[in-house]
Amino acid sequence: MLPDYKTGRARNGVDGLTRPDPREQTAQIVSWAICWPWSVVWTFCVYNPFRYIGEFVLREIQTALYEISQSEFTGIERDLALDPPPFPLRESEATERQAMVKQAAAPASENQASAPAVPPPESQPDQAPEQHPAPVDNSAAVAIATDEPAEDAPAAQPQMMPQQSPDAQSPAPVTWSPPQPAPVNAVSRQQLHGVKHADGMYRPTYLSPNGVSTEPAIDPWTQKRPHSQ
Amino acid sequence: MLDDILTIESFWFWTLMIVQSGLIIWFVEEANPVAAVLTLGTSVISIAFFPSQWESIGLGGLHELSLPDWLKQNAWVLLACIGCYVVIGIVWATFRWWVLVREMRDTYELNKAEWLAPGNLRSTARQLQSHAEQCSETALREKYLQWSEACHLAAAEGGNRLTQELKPIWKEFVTNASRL
Repeated sequence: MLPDYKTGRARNGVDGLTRPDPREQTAQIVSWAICWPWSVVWTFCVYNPFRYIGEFVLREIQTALYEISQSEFTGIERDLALDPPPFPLRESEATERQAMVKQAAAPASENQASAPAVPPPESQPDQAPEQHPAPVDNSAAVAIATDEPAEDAPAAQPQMMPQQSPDAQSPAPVTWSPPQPAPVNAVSRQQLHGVKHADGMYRPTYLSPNGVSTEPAIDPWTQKRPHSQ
Repeated sequence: MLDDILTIESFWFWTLMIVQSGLIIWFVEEANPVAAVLTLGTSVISIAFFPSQWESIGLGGLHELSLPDWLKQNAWVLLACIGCYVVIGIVWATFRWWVLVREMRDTYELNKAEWLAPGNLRSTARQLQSHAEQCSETALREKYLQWSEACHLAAAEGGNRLTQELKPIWKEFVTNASRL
C-alpha cells in the first residue's frame, strides 16, 4: 500500500489520513500497471472491489430514476402541496414579493402587540370590513410564517431569488430547495384560529396583499367570498 | 511416490511460478516496482529451463525454431500482446487507484461513525475532562473543557452528527494518531 498509509492502521483508524496524491505514489501506480495480472488477483481476493462497483452502479441508477420521477411528479406535487413551493423568481419579481411580504407582515406584528387589531385602522368595528378582492397569496404566507421579526421576513426566502442583475441577458441558474415546515408564529396562529372580536366570536384572518384581513378574498370564479359569515 | 513427484519437471515449474507470483504480489503491495519487475524478468527467463512446459503455456513453437527465428515469426503478435498488456495495465492502475481511494473513504466514514456514536462521545468527553484536570496550562485546559462540553452536548442530542463544535475535536483525533 501507500508508504505513508499503512493498510493495518487504516483499518483500525484514520491516523494522519490525507488526500492521496498520485504524484507522490508513482512507484505504487507503476507497480500496478506493470504487474497488473498479479495485482488483479490480489485486489479481487482481498479488497473485493465488486462492492464498490455495485454501489457505484446502484447509486447512478438510483440517481437517474429519482430524477425521472422528480421531473414527472413536479406538477402533481405542486397541485397537492397546501403551501406550494414558490417558483424561482427573477429579481424584479422577488423585489415586488418582498415588498408585499413586508406590507403584509407589518400589521401582523402590530396585531401581535395589541390584539384584536386585525381590522384596518381606518375601519370601525361595527362597519363592514374593507373589501380585498385580490387573491390570497400563499407564498407570501409561507414567507411570513417564520420566527424572524417582521423586518427580516424577506430573508426567509433567499433561495428563490437568483443572484442576477436586472439587465442580465440570460437568466441565471436558480437553485431551489424544498420548503421547510414553517414554524407557527403569531401570524400563522391567527390564520389558523382567527382573532377574537368584540362580540366574543373568533373569526379567521386572511392574508392579502394589503395586509391581514378578517375577510377572505373573493373567489374569482364564483364572485363570492368563501366561508363568508 | 515422493521421488516421482520431485523428479517431475512440471511440479518444479509450477512451484517456481507460484513462488514468483507470491513475490511479485508482495513487491507490488509494498510499492517496489524495481523488485517486482526483476522478479517478473526472472520468471520469464526461468521458463527457458523447463522446455517440457513450453507447450502448456503456448510457446510450443520454440521446439521447432530458434528463439530469434521464433521472435521474427511472431513479432507482430508479440507487439500486439505487449501493447495490450500496457493498455490494460494503465486501465487497471487507474481502477486500482479508485479502489484505493474508495477504501480510504470507507475507512474514514466507518471511523467517523464509530467516533460519533453517543457512547464514544461520552467517553471522549470524560477523557477530555480528565485531560483538563491534569493540564496546568490555562488556555489548553479551557480548550479541553470546551471540547468536553461539546462532546457531552452532542451525545445528549443523540450523536451521529459532526457538528461545528465537534469538528476541531475530530480533526485533532484524526491528525493526532487517534489520540486526544
